Order: sequence, then structure tokens, then C-alpha cells
Amino acid sequence: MRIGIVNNGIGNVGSVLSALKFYKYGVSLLESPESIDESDALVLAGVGSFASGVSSLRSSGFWKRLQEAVTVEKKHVLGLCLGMQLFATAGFENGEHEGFGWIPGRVVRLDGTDDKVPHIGWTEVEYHESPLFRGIRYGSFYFMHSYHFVPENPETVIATALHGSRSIVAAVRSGNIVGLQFHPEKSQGDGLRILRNIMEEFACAIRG
Amino acid sequence: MAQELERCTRCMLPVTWETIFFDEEGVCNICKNWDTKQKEINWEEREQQLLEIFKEVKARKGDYDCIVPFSGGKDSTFTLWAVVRKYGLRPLVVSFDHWFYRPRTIENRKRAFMRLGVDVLTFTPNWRVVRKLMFQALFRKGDFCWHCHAGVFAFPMQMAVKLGIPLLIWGEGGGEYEAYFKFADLEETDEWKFNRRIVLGLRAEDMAGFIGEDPRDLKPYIYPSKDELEKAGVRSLPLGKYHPWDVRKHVEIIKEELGWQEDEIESAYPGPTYEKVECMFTGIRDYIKYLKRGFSRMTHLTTLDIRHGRMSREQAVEFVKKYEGRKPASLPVFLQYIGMTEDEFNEVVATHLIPPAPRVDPNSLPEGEPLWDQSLWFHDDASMKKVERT
Amino acid sequence: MRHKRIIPQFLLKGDRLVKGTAFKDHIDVGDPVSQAMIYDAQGAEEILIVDIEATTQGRIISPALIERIISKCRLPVAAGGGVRSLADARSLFRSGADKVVLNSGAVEVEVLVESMAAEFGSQSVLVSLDVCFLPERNDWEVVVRSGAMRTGIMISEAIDKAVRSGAGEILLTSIDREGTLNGFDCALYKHVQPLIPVPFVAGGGAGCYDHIVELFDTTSVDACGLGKMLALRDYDIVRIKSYLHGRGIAVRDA
Repeated sequence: MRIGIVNNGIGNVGSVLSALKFYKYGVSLLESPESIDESDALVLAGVGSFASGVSSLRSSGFWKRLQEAVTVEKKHVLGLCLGMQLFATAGFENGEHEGFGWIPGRVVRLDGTDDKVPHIGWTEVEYHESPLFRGIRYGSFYFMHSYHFVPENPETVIATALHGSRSIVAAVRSGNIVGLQFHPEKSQGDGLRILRNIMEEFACAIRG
Repeated sequence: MAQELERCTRCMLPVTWETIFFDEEGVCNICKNWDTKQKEINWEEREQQLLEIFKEVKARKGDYDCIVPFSGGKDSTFTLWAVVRKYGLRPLVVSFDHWFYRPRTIENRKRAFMRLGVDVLTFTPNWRVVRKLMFQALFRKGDFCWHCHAGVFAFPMQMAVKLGIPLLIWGEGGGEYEAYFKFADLEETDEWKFNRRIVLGLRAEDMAGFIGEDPRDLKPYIYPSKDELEKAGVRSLPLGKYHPWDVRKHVEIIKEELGWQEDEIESAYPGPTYEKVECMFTGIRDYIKYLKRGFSRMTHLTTLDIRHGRMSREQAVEFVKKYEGRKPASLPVFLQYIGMTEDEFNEVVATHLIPPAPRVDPNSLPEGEPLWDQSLWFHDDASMKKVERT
Repeated sequence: MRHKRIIPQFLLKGDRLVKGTAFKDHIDVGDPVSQAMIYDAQGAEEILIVDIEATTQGRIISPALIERIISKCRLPVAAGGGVRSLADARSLFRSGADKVVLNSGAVEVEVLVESMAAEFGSQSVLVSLDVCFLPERNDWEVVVRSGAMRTGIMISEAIDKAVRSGAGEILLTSIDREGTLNGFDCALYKHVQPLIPVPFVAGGGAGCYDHIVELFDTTSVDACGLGKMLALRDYDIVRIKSYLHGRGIAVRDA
């Protein structure tokens, strides 16, 4: 299985690359939309605001190609942090911006909780029994965000975390699409494990 | 003095013991881990796993089935005995010579090697480099044994890679004394353990900058990379993971089978013991610990005795009061080895006080008796000059 | 309950890490990549690394070094030193940094914090303020360029500006306490904590377990930076967290 990490300058792709290489996966950075053709599975990382994420993907031509790849060709895609938030219908950071819409929902500011915003640090993640969380030892992952994803369909939520007393989305899944709000590439052993589990799931689905 | 320290209500470990914390009843987490160990592990299953691993290893018919890292202390001696006599493997013994082996240990080693019939590779690192490392470790961490910690763990791994011997068999797996390690997995590798706990927060790359040496001089202390280890298929096996580690039983066996002899150390009960007898400077290590943390070996020993039901806590308190807190007679020898005056030594050690341990004036401590072999320890004026430090 | 974070603070000088006292008399304390591996293995929450000569030398911390650290260390990395523009920050994010640390730049470059927060998100912008106590004013003054230049700006004003500009995290270091091992300046933190609605990291002065306990017991800071206590004393993250756990402070397992 060939894994392609979208590299259009919006993310710290080096860490994700390094994490996937730990397990000796065939992984490369995708510099152009055309290179998506050679990938079986895609990773969309992201650091930054919703607006800058969208605009840089549009201007590089990745936006259109990704839409096709994921909704038509049904390639598997993993979204990390901002990458996951871009799956939404719309994001409301500094105005309203259209997202990919692969998982209907909105990305809104983490306001009105009894904890600080941005949500920064290691937080325990609650998850149901799932192959994606197999072998997780400690259950805490690193979060770094001011906005969070509120999907329309609660069935797409496969893991949550507490921000103050409010339950927020930690992971989503819908068909060939998986998204993590936290940074697995920065969450030590458990982070690596979850990346491995996701890639194994993708590989299995592609083979089967 | 040491009575002022908060201690576990069940054993003797004080609040300044590494990784300790107490529950609502004042019982420490190490006592609690110990409880788990006794009750929850299926040792038969583990023994089966071990036999499977050994069967596979023997079938490979390599020049050696495994490496046994060896010092000559009770744990590595028992491990070697088990590997040869109990499990019938062909080991290569790899020994890192830290320069501090005592005469009786050297004899114990020879007897063990002769009776078991094994090939032995002993590596002795550059003394001039070791001396500098001892000082830097003492200065930065209040623990002069960095070269030993790093070398004992890294060097056998390097040999495993270089000589293509994929299995290393270590002694016990920790847990009895410390709560550092939970369990191993793919992501938490041996190198992770090495970096986490073994090397005191300093790796060869750090030390190379401190001692201003050619980085090649630090080679024996470098843990092989994950890629090198994977390519050679190297794995570490702590025997203590597959066997309940019964030290007394092990000592009986090695005494009987290998003529292993106990020795006296400076910081324990008077008379022969089996703990830490292989190193000349055990007493110095324990002395530094006492100055830093307000407790030492007697606390550790009485704790084990309490846990094994050999002593009451009241008796333990008496022993600790009587025997802890003495200045070792070996101090002048150590100072020559490391090239410091006693004042310089005291000054450096004083910076490493770990509150809430109370500060102790070393000059107020009574001196202990010299060990029988102290006068025999190697000495060379030219290699042990006092070092001028700015 | 949110766990308190323990963050080793790396000061980079040339290609080695250093430690001093009150920002002076630095000695070598190791190789940055090697030390990042150590604290990853010991279970710190993240690493903070700042190049203390970058601003005065008119450059940024080396992105190549950040890349090497990221390749060996699976913890979040906050990196800073000489960042004065979006392009500077971008090259650090590209090399794998999770947060960019602004110190002199936050004070000297108008709208830097604002534009970085808008472009990269508040959570990626850590404003680091170093302060000196002025007894005659009973207040703390912000000092930049690794302690070399006083700004005349008092701490409350600086924090207010940073927060309003969108800083996602504040690191506040007492220069008077830094490297002294005498304990954190808890009075400083108590004084400013009502002004800080974002995650707040205290730095400078930790010397023993109880200093950290005191910090978390008496202030509402979210994290602490540790320097000399880790580099030049016999403490490690595992033991520190055990001690904190035993004293009822919520920390993630090491």
C-alpha cells in the first residue's frame, strides 16, 4: 500500500512522515495533485487556520484532485487536526469557509467551556471498542486546537475527549474517511500505535 | 537524622527513593507493585514461552546461541549458570570491565568460567576517558558510574550486532526495586529504556561535548540504532520476566555449583553479603546516596527483609539507625581514581542534595572499617594524578 | 481534571544546549537531539527549544536542527529564536515544529503575534516573556534579547497585548529566579494569572520536587518549564512525576 502525505506547505508533514516510516510503510510526500494518482491511501495533516488551509489547497490544485480521489475513487484518507477539520461542510474561523463536506458538520470555536482555549496538552480519549484503538496503552493524546468539529451525524464520532466538562470530538470515521483531532505523530507510543492501526485498516480494506 | 524522612509505613523506603509515592495509608507504590507481582503472574506460562524461544534459538545453530552480559555479581552469575546448565544454550559471555572489579570477584569470575566452560569477551574501556566521564557524571548528576551504566548496557548490544548473535539474556527485569518500567512493546524499545533510565539523562553525544574528546572515544557507550538492531534481529530477554526472581535461592545455587563466594561491603550489615560485591566503589556510591537522599543501602536491605517477612519494621529501624551514615574507608582510594580532593568532592556532592533530605555534614560522620582487600586494589600514580579544574 | 504539563526548556547556543544563572555564565549541557530523545523517553509533555543568540545575530533557530529533533523525538516541539516574520515561522512549521515561540519578536515587531495567530492559529503561537522584578515599582518589567535589553513595558501590559493579539499560550520566566534552583516566583504568577485566559506556562527557578508542588498548589498555571534542575541535578521526569502524583498533583504518567 502506498501512502501519500499531501505536502502543500500547510502542515508539519515531516513528523507524520517520520512516524509512518517507523513502521516501514511505503510513504512519500505528495508535491503535486497528480501524484495522488500513485497513492492508495492519503494523509492530510495541517497546522494553521481553516481559511489558510482551504486557500492553500485550492491554489495548489490539491483541493479538486482530493475531492475526486476521496468521493469518486473512494481512496482512503486520514485527516490530522486541521486536516480532519477540513472534512467538514464549513468552518467558522474568521468568517465562514467551505470545507470538503465529506463528513457533514461544522467547525466552530471551542467557546463556552470551563477550560482554557486553545485546548493544549495531553488529554485522555474515550473510545469504544474498535480496531483503530487496539493495543493503546495509556490513552492520552496531544491536542492543540482552538476550534472543534461538530458533525451532524453522531454515528461518525468514534472517540471523544473532555475539554473542561464538555465532550468534544477526538476522532471521526465514515467509510473510507478517518479523522483525528489530536496529533498522533506527537503522542509517543500510543500515537504511533493508532497510526499503525489506521494504516492496517486501510490496507485491509484495500486488499479485501 | 534519617528518621526525619517520611517513609513507607510497610517497608523502609523513604520519600526520596526514586519513583516512590504513598497511598492514603502511607504504603508505597513499590510495595503495591510487589503485591501484583506475587499474585497475578502465571509463571508456568512464562516458562513455556521461554522454552519455546530457546528451542527456536538452538535450532538456528549459530556460533553462539546468545550473549550473556556478565559482571560476576550474583545476578549475572546465576543467569549464566541457568543459560548453560539449566537451558543448555551456547552463550558468548560479554563483560564490560569498569576498572573497579574486586579481587574476590575476579576469582568468582574465573571459577564460573572454568566450571561452566564458556567463551568470554571482556572489554576494558580507555581509562583516561573513563576518568573524565566519572567526573562529569559526578558533577552533573551526583553519580560517577555513568560509564558503567552506559557501557554495561550498550556494549553487549553492540557486540550482538557486530557478531550477529541475535539474543541477549539479562538477569532480572526490574520492578522489584523501581516503578520505572511497565511493560515492553514495539514502540517502547530497549533503547527507550536506555534513554529513559539507564544513562542518567546523558547520552554519548552529550558526554562527548563535555569531555572534549574525539567522539570516537565514546563509542563503547553508544546504544545501537533501531535500524542496526532490526537488521541483525537482535532482541533482549530479561530472565526475570520468565522466572520469579528468588535471590536467596539463586545465591545458594551459584555457591554450590560455581563456588561463588560472598564478600563484605562497606555499607551493609557487617559480615559477608551477596549484594553488590563486585565493585570496589559500592561503598562510595552508597555514601554519596546517603549525602544526597538521606538514606542508603541499609534502608534498601531492611526493606527487602521486611517484604520477605524476615524482619519487623521495628528491628529495621534499629539497624538503619546503627549502620547507615558512615564515611567509607575507601574514600581516599576513590579520590585518587577520580582525581579530586575530599573538599572538592564534598562541594560537588553537596550541590546534589535532594530535598526534603536533610543536609548532612560529611565531617561529622564516623568512619567505617576498611575492607580486607582495599590495600590490594590497583594503584598507579601516573594514571591517578589529581586533576586541576578551574 | 486537566493534567499539569512538565516541559524541559532547552536553550540553544551554537549547536549545543546551555544552562546559566539569570541568563549568564552558560555552560554546555548537551546535544539538542540527544537531549530531546532523553526527555521523550522519560515522558515529558513537550520540548521547548529557543536559540538564545538568534535575535542578536539576525537569524532564526536552525530549521535543519528542528528537523533532526523531530526525526528522533515523538513529542510536540515548541521552537523559537529570532522569529520576526510569517516566513520565519513558516520555515519552522515546515521543519516540524508544532508551536513557534516569540520572545523579542513579540515585543519588537508590531502585529507579529496578530498576523501569526491569524495565519497559523492561536494554538501555534507561544509568547514567551522574560521579566525582572523592580522593587521600586513592586512590579515586573519585560526584558528582551536574552536579558540584555529592558523594554520599559510592565508585565500586565505585555500580557494583555499578547492575549488580545491572539497568543495561544504564554510562557513567563523570571530572570531573577532562572538557574538559581531557588524556586519559582509564585508571587509573579499569582499576580498575572487572572489576566491569562489561555494556557499559562511558568518558567525559571525550579530546584527540587517541592518547588514544583508549591507552584501547582498555590497558582493556577497549567505547566512548568524545567531547566537546570533537569540538566545539572539528579532529577528526571519519571521521578518528578511520581513525586507529584504522590502529592496529589494531576500529571500524565511519565
